[in-house]
Amino acid sequence: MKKKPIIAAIAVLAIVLIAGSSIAYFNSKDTADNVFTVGHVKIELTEDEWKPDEEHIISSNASFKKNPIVENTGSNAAYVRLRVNVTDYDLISEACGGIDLKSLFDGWDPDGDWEVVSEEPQADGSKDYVFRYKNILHVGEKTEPLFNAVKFPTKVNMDKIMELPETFDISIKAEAIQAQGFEDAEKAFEAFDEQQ
Amino acid sequence: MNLKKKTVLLIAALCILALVGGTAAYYTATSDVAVNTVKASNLKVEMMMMQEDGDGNQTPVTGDDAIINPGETYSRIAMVKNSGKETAWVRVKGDLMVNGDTISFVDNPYITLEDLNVDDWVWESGYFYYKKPLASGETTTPLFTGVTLAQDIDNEMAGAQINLQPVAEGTQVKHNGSSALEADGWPVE
Repeated sequence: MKKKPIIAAIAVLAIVLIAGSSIAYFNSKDTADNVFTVGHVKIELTEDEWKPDEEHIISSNASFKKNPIVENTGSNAAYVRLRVNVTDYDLISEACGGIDLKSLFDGWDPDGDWEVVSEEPQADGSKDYVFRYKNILHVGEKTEPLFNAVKFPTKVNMDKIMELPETFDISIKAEAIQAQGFEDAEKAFEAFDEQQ
Repeated sequence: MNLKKKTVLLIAALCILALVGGTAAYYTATSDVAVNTVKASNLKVEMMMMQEDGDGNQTPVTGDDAIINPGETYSRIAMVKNSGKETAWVRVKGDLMVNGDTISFVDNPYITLEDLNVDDWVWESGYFYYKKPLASGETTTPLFTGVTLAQDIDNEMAGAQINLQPVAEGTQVKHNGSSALEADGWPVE
Protein backbone atom coordinates (compact mmCIF):
# COMPACT_ATOMS: atom_id res chain seq x y z
CA MET A 1 0.00 0.00 0.00
CA LYS A 2 2.78 2.43 0.84
CA LYS A 3 4.37 1.81 -2.58
CA LYS A 4 1.47 3.45 -4.44
CA PRO A 5 2.06 7.05 -3.24
CA ILE A 6 5.81 6.83 -3.99
CA ILE A 7 5.23 5.50 -7.50
CA ALA A 8 2.67 8.23 -8.11
CA ALA A 9 5.10 10.90 -6.93
CA ILE A 10 7.85 9.60 -9.19
CA ALA A 11 5.43 9.55 -12.10
CA VAL A 12 4.44 13.15 -11.51
CA LEU A 13 8.07 14.25 -11.27
CA ALA A 14 8.90 12.42 -14.47
CA ILE A 15 6.05 14.13 -16.30
CA VAL A 16 7.29 17.53 -15.11
CA LEU A 17 10.82 16.80 -16.25
CA ILE A 18 9.72 15.61 -19.69
CA ALA A 19 7.38 18.56 -20.22
CA GLY A 20 10.05 21.04 -19.08
CA SER A 21 12.80 19.87 -21.46
CA SER A 22 12.35 22.99 -23.75
CA ILE A 23 14.16 25.31 -21.36
CA ALA A 24 13.40 29.02 -21.64
CA TYR A 25 16.22 31.57 -21.75
CA PHE A 26 15.93 35.23 -20.99
CA ASN A 27 16.67 37.40 -23.98
CA SER A 28 16.26 40.88 -25.38
CA LYS A 29 16.20 42.63 -28.75
CA ASP A 30 16.52 46.23 -29.94
CA THR A 31 16.73 47.92 -33.35
CA ALA A 32 18.27 51.20 -34.52
CA ASP A 33 17.31 53.08 -37.68
CA ASN A 34 19.70 55.01 -39.89
CA VAL A 35 17.81 56.39 -42.85
CA PHE A 36 19.73 57.80 -45.80
CA THR A 37 18.39 59.13 -49.05
CA VAL A 38 20.76 58.87 -51.95
CA GLY A 39 21.27 62.35 -53.23
CA HIS A 40 19.97 63.21 -56.62
CA VAL A 41 20.87 65.95 -59.04
CA LYS A 42 17.96 67.35 -60.95
CA ILE A 43 17.71 70.51 -63.01
CA GLU A 44 15.12 72.23 -65.11
CA LEU A 45 15.86 74.37 -68.13
CA THR A 46 13.40 77.14 -68.92
CA GLU A 47 13.22 80.01 -71.37
CA ASP A 48 9.86 81.61 -70.80
CA GLU A 49 10.52 84.55 -73.14
CA TRP A 50 10.87 82.34 -76.21
CA LYS A 51 7.66 82.00 -78.22
CA PRO A 52 7.88 78.63 -79.94
CA ASP A 53 4.69 79.15 -81.91
CA GLU A 54 5.81 82.37 -83.52
CA GLU A 55 7.75 82.63 -86.75
CA HIS A 56 11.30 83.78 -86.30
CA ILE A 57 12.49 85.17 -89.62
CA ILE A 58 16.07 86.18 -90.11
CA SER A 59 16.67 89.70 -91.26
CA SER A 60 19.06 92.47 -90.35
CA ASN A 61 18.66 93.53 -86.74
CA ALA A 62 16.04 90.84 -86.15
CA SER A 63 15.83 90.05 -82.46
CA PHE A 64 13.98 87.26 -80.74
CA LYS A 65 13.71 87.02 -76.97
CA LYS A 66 15.25 83.87 -75.59
CA ASN A 67 16.39 83.53 -71.98
CA PRO A 68 17.80 80.16 -71.00
CA ILE A 69 17.73 79.71 -67.21
CA VAL A 70 18.64 76.63 -65.18
CA GLU A 71 16.96 75.81 -61.89
CA ASN A 72 18.23 73.27 -59.36
CA THR A 73 15.19 71.13 -58.55
CA GLY A 74 17.06 68.22 -56.93
CA SER A 75 18.38 67.58 -53.46
CA ASN A 76 22.07 68.28 -54.13
CA ALA A 77 24.02 71.44 -54.88
CA ALA A 78 25.37 71.15 -58.40
CA TYR A 79 27.67 72.53 -61.05
CA VAL A 80 25.81 73.38 -64.22
CA ARG A 81 26.64 73.96 -67.87
CA LEU A 82 24.70 74.70 -71.04
CA ARG A 83 25.44 73.23 -74.42
CA VAL A 84 24.18 75.53 -77.18
CA ASN A 85 24.07 73.97 -80.62
CA VAL A 86 23.68 76.04 -83.79
CA THR A 87 22.89 74.06 -86.93
CA ASP A 88 24.41 74.91 -90.32
CA TYR A 89 26.99 76.98 -88.50
CA ASP A 90 29.18 77.90 -91.47
CA LEU A 91 26.23 78.92 -93.61
CA ILE A 92 24.72 81.09 -90.89
CA SER A 93 28.05 82.66 -90.07
CA GLU A 94 28.70 83.46 -93.70
CA ALA A 95 25.24 84.96 -94.10
CA CYS A 96 25.92 87.14 -91.09
CA GLY A 97 29.16 88.46 -92.47
CA GLY A 98 31.47 85.75 -91.19
CA ILE A 99 30.93 86.56 -87.51
CA ASP A 100 31.43 84.26 -84.58
CA LEU A 101 27.87 83.28 -83.84
CA LYS A 102 28.37 83.85 -80.11
CA SER A 103 27.71 87.39 -80.98
CA LEU A 104 24.10 86.43 -81.75
CA PHE A 105 23.59 85.75 -78.05
CA ASP A 106 22.46 89.16 -76.98
CA GLY A 107 23.04 89.88 -73.30
CA TRP A 108 25.74 87.26 -72.74
CA ASP A 109 28.52 88.81 -70.67
CA PRO A 110 31.90 87.07 -71.09
CA ASP A 111 32.84 88.40 -67.66
CA GLY A 112 29.55 87.41 -66.08
CA ASP A 113 28.37 84.20 -64.44
CA TRP A 114 28.56 82.11 -67.61
CA GLU A 115 31.97 81.44 -69.15
CA VAL A 116 32.43 79.80 -72.52
CA VAL A 117 34.66 76.77 -72.06
CA SER A 118 34.62 75.21 -75.51
CA GLU A 119 33.46 75.62 -79.10
CA GLU A 120 33.11 72.25 -80.77
CA PRO A 121 32.35 71.86 -84.50
CA GLN A 122 30.19 68.82 -85.08
CA ALA A 123 30.20 66.36 -87.94
CA ASP A 124 26.77 67.45 -89.09
CA GLY A 125 27.89 71.02 -89.72
CA SER A 126 26.59 72.39 -86.46
CA LYS A 127 28.64 73.82 -83.65
CA ASP A 128 28.35 73.32 -79.91
CA TYR A 129 29.15 76.20 -77.59
CA VAL A 130 29.61 75.02 -74.02
CA PHE A 131 28.94 77.62 -71.32
CA ARG A 132 29.71 76.72 -67.73
CA TYR A 133 28.12 78.43 -64.75
CA LYS A 134 30.88 79.72 -62.50
CA ASN A 135 29.00 79.30 -59.21
CA ILE A 136 27.64 76.30 -57.40
CA LEU A 137 23.90 76.17 -57.95
CA HIS A 138 22.30 75.34 -54.63
CA VAL A 139 19.02 73.53 -54.19
CA GLY A 140 16.15 75.74 -55.26
CA GLU A 141 18.36 78.35 -56.93
CA LYS A 142 18.17 79.58 -60.51
CA THR A 143 20.99 80.83 -62.68
CA GLU A 144 21.04 84.16 -64.39
CA PRO A 145 19.90 83.85 -68.04
CA LEU A 146 22.70 82.77 -70.36
CA PHE A 147 21.56 85.52 -72.70
CA ASN A 148 18.36 87.53 -73.27
CA ALA A 149 17.76 87.30 -76.99
CA VAL A 150 19.05 86.00 -80.32
CA LYS A 151 19.88 89.13 -82.27
CA PHE A 152 21.10 89.25 -85.87
CA PRO A 153 23.61 91.85 -86.96
CA THR A 154 22.75 94.98 -88.81
CA LYS A 155 24.48 93.76 -91.94
CA VAL A 156 23.38 90.40 -93.30
CA ASN A 157 24.00 88.99 -96.76
CA MET A 158 20.52 88.42 -98.08
CA ASP A 159 21.77 86.32 -101.00
CA LYS A 160 23.39 84.00 -98.52
CA ILE A 161 20.31 84.12 -96.37
CA MET A 162 18.28 82.85 -99.30
CA GLU A 163 20.65 79.92 -99.65
CA LEU A 164 20.05 78.82 -96.11
CA PRO A 165 17.86 75.81 -95.37
CA GLU A 166 14.30 76.77 -94.69
CA THR A 167 14.97 76.67 -90.97
CA PHE A 168 17.90 76.33 -88.68
CA ASP A 169 17.95 75.55 -85.00
CA ILE A 170 19.53 76.95 -81.90
CA SER A 171 18.99 74.21 -79.36
CA ILE A 172 20.11 74.25 -75.76
CA LYS A 173 20.78 71.38 -73.40
CA ALA A 174 21.53 71.73 -69.68
CA GLU A 175 23.86 69.37 -67.81
CA ALA A 176 24.63 69.15 -64.12
CA ILE A 177 26.76 67.20 -61.69
CA GLN A 178 26.84 67.17 -57.88
CA ALA A 179 29.09 69.82 -56.41
CA GLN A 180 30.00 67.78 -53.35
CA GLY A 181 33.36 66.05 -53.70
CA PHE A 182 34.80 68.40 -56.35
CA GLU A 183 37.03 71.38 -55.77
CA ASP A 184 35.66 73.29 -58.75
CA ALA A 185 33.37 73.09 -61.77
CA GLU A 186 36.19 72.10 -64.11
CA LYS A 187 37.04 69.00 -62.08
CA ALA A 188 33.39 68.20 -61.70
CA PHE A 189 32.70 68.20 -65.42
CA GLU A 190 35.82 66.20 -66.14
CA ALA A 191 34.20 63.50 -64.04
CA PHE A 192 30.89 64.08 -65.79
CA ASP A 193 32.46 63.53 -69.20
CA GLU A 194 34.31 60.41 -68.03
CA GLN A 195 31.08 58.95 -66.81
CA GLN A 196 29.29 59.41 -70.16
CA MET B 1 -23.42 -19.66 21.32
CA ASN B 2 -19.93 -20.58 22.35
CA LEU B 3 -16.89 -18.18 22.20
CA LYS B 4 -15.47 -19.58 19.02
CA LYS B 5 -18.62 -18.93 17.05
CA LYS B 6 -18.84 -15.40 18.44
CA THR B 7 -15.27 -14.74 17.38
CA VAL B 8 -15.85 -16.06 13.89
CA LEU B 9 -19.01 -14.04 13.58
CA LEU B 10 -17.24 -10.90 14.77
CA ILE B 11 -14.38 -11.38 12.29
CA ALA B 12 -16.92 -12.04 9.54
CA ALA B 13 -18.85 -8.92 10.46
CA LEU B 14 -15.66 -6.87 10.39
CA CYS B 15 -14.75 -8.28 6.98
CA ILE B 16 -18.17 -7.50 5.65
CA LEU B 17 -17.90 -3.97 6.95
CA ALA B 18 -14.51 -3.61 5.33
CA LEU B 19 -15.78 -4.89 1.99
CA VAL B 20 -19.02 -2.91 2.04
CA GLY B 21 -17.09 0.31 3.02
CA GLY B 22 -14.78 -0.03 -0.11
CA THR B 23 -12.72 2.98 0.88
CA ALA B 24 -9.56 1.45 2.06
CA ALA B 25 -7.43 3.60 4.32
CA TYR B 26 -3.72 4.41 3.50
CA TYR B 27 -1.08 5.83 5.64
CA THR B 28 -0.48 9.41 4.61
CA ALA B 29 1.72 12.29 5.49
CA THR B 30 1.89 15.95 4.44
CA SER B 31 5.04 17.96 4.19
CA ASP B 32 5.50 21.61 5.00
CA VAL B 33 4.77 23.91 2.02
CA ALA B 34 7.94 25.00 0.22
CA VAL B 35 7.65 28.45 -1.30
CA ASN B 36 9.95 29.24 -4.25
CA THR B 37 9.73 32.82 -5.40
CA VAL B 38 11.01 33.25 -8.98
CA LYS B 39 11.70 36.76 -10.29
CA ALA B 40 11.55 37.53 -14.03
CA SER B 41 15.09 38.27 -15.11
CA ASN B 42 16.02 41.80 -16.12
CA LEU B 43 17.95 41.19 -19.34
CA LYS B 44 17.93 44.13 -21.70
CA VAL B 45 20.20 45.22 -24.54
CA GLU B 46 20.11 48.47 -26.46
CA MET B 47 21.35 49.09 -29.99
CA MET B 48 23.19 52.40 -29.86
CA MET B 49 24.03 54.50 -32.90
CA MET B 50 26.20 57.55 -32.24
CA GLN B 51 27.68 60.14 -34.56
CA GLU B 52 30.87 62.10 -34.02
CA ASP B 53 31.49 65.66 -35.16
CA GLY B 54 34.76 67.19 -36.20
CA ASP B 55 35.62 68.03 -32.58
CA GLY B 56 35.20 64.46 -31.40
CA ASN B 57 31.85 65.04 -29.70
CA GLN B 58 29.47 62.10 -29.91
CA THR B 59 25.69 62.46 -30.00
CA PRO B 60 22.97 59.90 -30.60
CA VAL B 61 21.77 59.48 -34.17
CA THR B 62 18.14 60.50 -34.34
CA GLY B 63 17.31 58.30 -37.32
CA ASP B 64 16.29 61.32 -39.38
CA ASP B 65 16.77 61.19 -43.11
CA ALA B 66 20.26 62.22 -44.27
CA ILE B 67 21.20 62.95 -47.87
CA ILE B 68 24.18 60.85 -48.89
CA ASN B 69 26.13 61.13 -52.13
CA PRO B 70 28.44 58.70 -53.92
CA GLY B 71 31.73 58.39 -52.08
CA GLU B 72 30.45 60.28 -49.05
CA THR B 73 30.99 58.96 -45.51
CA TYR B 74 28.77 59.56 -42.50
CA SER B 75 29.94 59.00 -38.95
CA ARG B 76 27.88 56.13 -37.52
CA ILE B 77 29.29 54.39 -34.42
CA ALA B 78 27.43 51.15 -33.71
CA MET B 79 27.61 49.71 -30.17
CA VAL B 80 25.42 47.61 -27.90
CA LYS B 81 24.73 48.53 -24.30
CA ASN B 82 23.66 46.12 -21.57
CA SER B 83 21.02 48.18 -19.81
CA GLY B 84 19.65 45.23 -17.86
CA LYS B 85 20.90 43.54 -14.72
CA GLU B 86 21.99 40.24 -16.22
CA THR B 87 25.27 39.59 -17.94
CA ALA B 88 24.48 38.87 -21.57
CA TRP B 89 25.84 37.34 -24.70
CA VAL B 90 25.35 39.84 -27.50
CA ARG B 91 25.05 39.70 -31.26
CA VAL B 92 24.06 42.15 -33.99
CA LYS B 93 22.13 41.35 -37.13
CA GLY B 94 22.89 43.63 -40.03
CA ASP B 95 19.86 44.48 -42.13
CA LEU B 96 19.99 46.98 -44.95
CA MET B 97 16.73 48.09 -46.47
CA VAL B 98 17.03 49.54 -49.95
CA ASN B 99 13.78 50.96 -51.30
CA GLY B 100 11.88 48.50 -49.14
CA ASP B 101 13.91 45.37 -50.00
CA THR B 102 15.94 43.83 -47.16
CA ILE B 103 19.51 42.64 -47.75
CA SER B 104 22.52 42.04 -45.54
CA PHE B 105 24.77 44.99 -44.83
CA VAL B 106 27.78 42.81 -45.43
CA ASP B 107 28.69 42.21 -49.09
CA ASN B 108 26.17 44.60 -50.60
CA PRO B 109 26.83 46.91 -53.57
CA TYR B 110 25.64 50.10 -51.90
CA ILE B 111 27.48 50.83 -48.66
CA THR B 112 30.75 50.06 -46.93
CA LEU B 113 31.10 49.88 -43.16
CA GLU B 114 34.13 51.83 -41.94
CA ASP B 115 36.54 50.42 -39.32
CA LEU B 116 34.69 47.11 -39.10
CA ASN B 117 35.92 45.65 -35.79
CA VAL B 118 36.90 42.04 -36.37
CA ASP B 119 38.99 41.91 -33.20
CA ASP B 120 36.09 42.00 -30.77
CA TRP B 121 33.32 40.79 -33.08
CA VAL B 122 33.05 37.66 -35.22
CA TRP B 123 30.78 37.22 -38.24
CA GLU B 124 28.84 33.97 -38.35
CA SER B 125 25.71 33.01 -40.26
CA GLY B 126 24.31 36.48 -40.68
CA TYR B 127 25.25 37.90 -37.28
CA PHE B 128 28.18 39.69 -35.66
CA TYR B 129 28.79 38.01 -32.29
CA TYR B 130 30.52 39.92 -29.50
CA LYS B 131 33.31 37.66 -28.28
CA LYS B 132 33.06 38.59 -24.59
CA PRO B 133 30.13 38.46 -22.15
CA LEU B 134 28.68 41.92 -21.58
CA ALA B 135 28.14 42.75 -17.94
CA SER B 136 25.33 44.93 -16.66
CA GLY B 137 25.94 48.59 -17.50
CA GLU B 138 28.72 47.87 -19.99
CA THR B 139 28.85 48.86 -23.64
CA THR B 140 30.57 46.91 -26.36
CA THR B 141 33.40 48.33 -28.39
CA PRO B 142 32.14 49.77 -31.70
CA LEU B 143 31.20 47.29 -34.37
CA PHE B 144 31.86 49.96 -37.02
CA THR B 145 32.34 53.73 -37.00
CA GLY B 146 31.06 54.98 -40.35
CA VAL B 147 29.01 54.33 -43.45
CA THR B 148 30.20 55.18 -46.99
CA LEU B 149 28.02 55.17 -50.07
CA ALA B 150 29.65 53.42 -53.03
CA GLN B 151 31.42 55.83 -55.39
CA ASP B 152 30.25 53.95 -58.46
CA ILE B 153 26.63 53.65 -57.43
CA ASP B 154 24.36 53.71 -60.44
CA ASN B 155 22.64 56.98 -61.28
CA GLU B 156 19.39 55.04 -61.19
CA MET B 157 19.82 54.90 -57.41
CA ALA B 158 19.50 58.67 -57.17
CA GLY B 159 16.78 59.46 -54.68
CA ALA B 160 16.64 55.89 -53.36
CA GLN B 161 16.12 55.38 -49.64
CA ILE B 162 18.60 53.26 -47.72
CA ASN B 163 17.92 52.27 -44.11
CA LEU B 164 20.87 50.78 -42.26
CA GLN B 165 19.10 48.87 -39.51
CA PRO B 166 21.34 46.98 -37.08
CA VAL B 167 19.45 44.78 -34.61
CA ALA B 168 21.00 44.02 -31.23
CA GLU B 169 20.10 40.74 -29.54
CA GLY B 170 21.07 39.46 -26.13
CA THR B 171 20.69 36.18 -24.30
CA GLN B 172 21.65 35.17 -20.78
CA VAL B 173 25.17 34.05 -20.01
CA LYS B 174 24.23 31.91 -17.00
CA HIS B 175 24.07 28.22 -17.81
CA ASN B 176 24.31 29.04 -21.47
CA GLY B 177 27.53 28.03 -23.12
CA SER B 178 31.04 29.40 -22.85
CA SER B 179 30.77 31.80 -25.78
CA ALA B 180 28.18 33.75 -27.72
CA LEU B 181 28.55 31.35 -30.63
CA GLU B 182 27.62 28.42 -28.36
CA ALA B 183 24.75 30.18 -26.60
CA ASP B 184 21.08 29.39 -27.08
CA GLY B 185 17.90 31.26 -26.43
CA TRP B 186 18.34 34.17 -28.84
CA PRO B 187 15.16 36.08 -29.61
CA VAL B 188 13.01 34.45 -32.24
CA GLU B 189 12.49 36.49 -35.42
